[in-house]
Amino acid sequence: MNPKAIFKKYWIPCIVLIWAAFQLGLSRYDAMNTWKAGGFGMYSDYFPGNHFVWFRIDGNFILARKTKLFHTNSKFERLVQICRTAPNSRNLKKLNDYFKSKAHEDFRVEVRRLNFDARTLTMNSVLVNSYED
Amino acid sequence: MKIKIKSPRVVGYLLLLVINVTEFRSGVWFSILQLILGLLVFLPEVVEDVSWTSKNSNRNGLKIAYLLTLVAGIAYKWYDAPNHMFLFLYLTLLLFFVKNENDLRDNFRWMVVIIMGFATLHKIINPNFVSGDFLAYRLLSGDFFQPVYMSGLFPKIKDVLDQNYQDIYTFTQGESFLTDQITLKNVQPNLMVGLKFFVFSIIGMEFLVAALFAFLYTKRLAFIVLLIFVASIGLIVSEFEFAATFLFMGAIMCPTKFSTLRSMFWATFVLYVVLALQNNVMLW
Repeated sequence: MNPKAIFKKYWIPCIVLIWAAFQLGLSRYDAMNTWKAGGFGMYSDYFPGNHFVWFRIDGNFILARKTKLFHTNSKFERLVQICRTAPNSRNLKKLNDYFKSKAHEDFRVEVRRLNFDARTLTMNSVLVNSYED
Repeated sequence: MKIKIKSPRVVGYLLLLVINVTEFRSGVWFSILQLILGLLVFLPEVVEDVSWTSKNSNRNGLKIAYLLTLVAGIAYKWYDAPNHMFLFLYLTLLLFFVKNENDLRDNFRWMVVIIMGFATLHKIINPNFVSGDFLAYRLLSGDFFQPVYMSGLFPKIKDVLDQNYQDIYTFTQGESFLTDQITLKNVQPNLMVGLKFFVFSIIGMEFLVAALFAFLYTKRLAFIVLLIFVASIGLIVSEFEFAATFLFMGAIMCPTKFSTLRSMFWATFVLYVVLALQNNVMLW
């Protein structure tokens, strides 16, 4: 069977194959969570719910989802959720710019995820990415 | 109106539609729209003497509108879109465009190979998975084997896992999360002893499913392994929609000569549809 005939018969699995490779690339090189964008890597790593967006404002840390803005502004909530799913610098900058336009002058955005060590059974947090103007 | 089920395949698909939309993960309006359009497209294929459209072009318009709502439902909240919604979209495309029964089975076959193959690849290249750290976290936070713990048969284990869950929640909500660490309690029997075995059994099982469907698709063994793998998902995690979709594909793919196996696929599919609906209703 020639490639044209194969594609004609299996074009949907071909598209899924290309998407799966693309999603793998995104998760390796663009901080996309392995559980998302098709989720071929579900249960292979910590999921977005294990990621936490923090703001450091004047030396104090505030969890994004505990801010008033998170519960009153759907765009802000969306940007926070996106940073948990894909904590790349582009998304952190968007959140940074939006938060700056709404609330504060000087702050830093951090995305952290929990981290577990099976040998010692200890859990801590690791910094995934941060952004500051 | 005479109700006569013409196609168990379409009935199965409609059940998948119902469990997908009742999660409301695409937002309420998209979910309602998906349900209405899905019924408009597929009901005439199930119920005799029912047709909403007199012309083929109208029917094609409905199909396109339905596909667009599925894609839009994923794009709308892409950061939270459930993965079984992607699987459901692939399934819909296949049912729309592949008319020959054997071709449909063949397409399903390669979907299984791609999905399980990439699932294996992700796990092999991920240090958090291979080290066992991620699975240990899921085990000790009570995310895995919930039906077993909730059965009440292991009250001591349940108490420890409930306490761990509470400790993790408290830890992650406070500023101490940034600088401190906590230690989770282990359970007896020590789950960490078999951790590496658990890690490599998952990788091995997913690889086996992909390999069997790639190279030994006509053998009974391929379907037995798929059935065991997918049917056991519900004991470990509550991915009922994903399991139901895979069981549906398994039932369609399974040759009629393996009639018992095929019936088991359908029966387990119905069980997972019920579990998914129950789970969705509990989340409302």
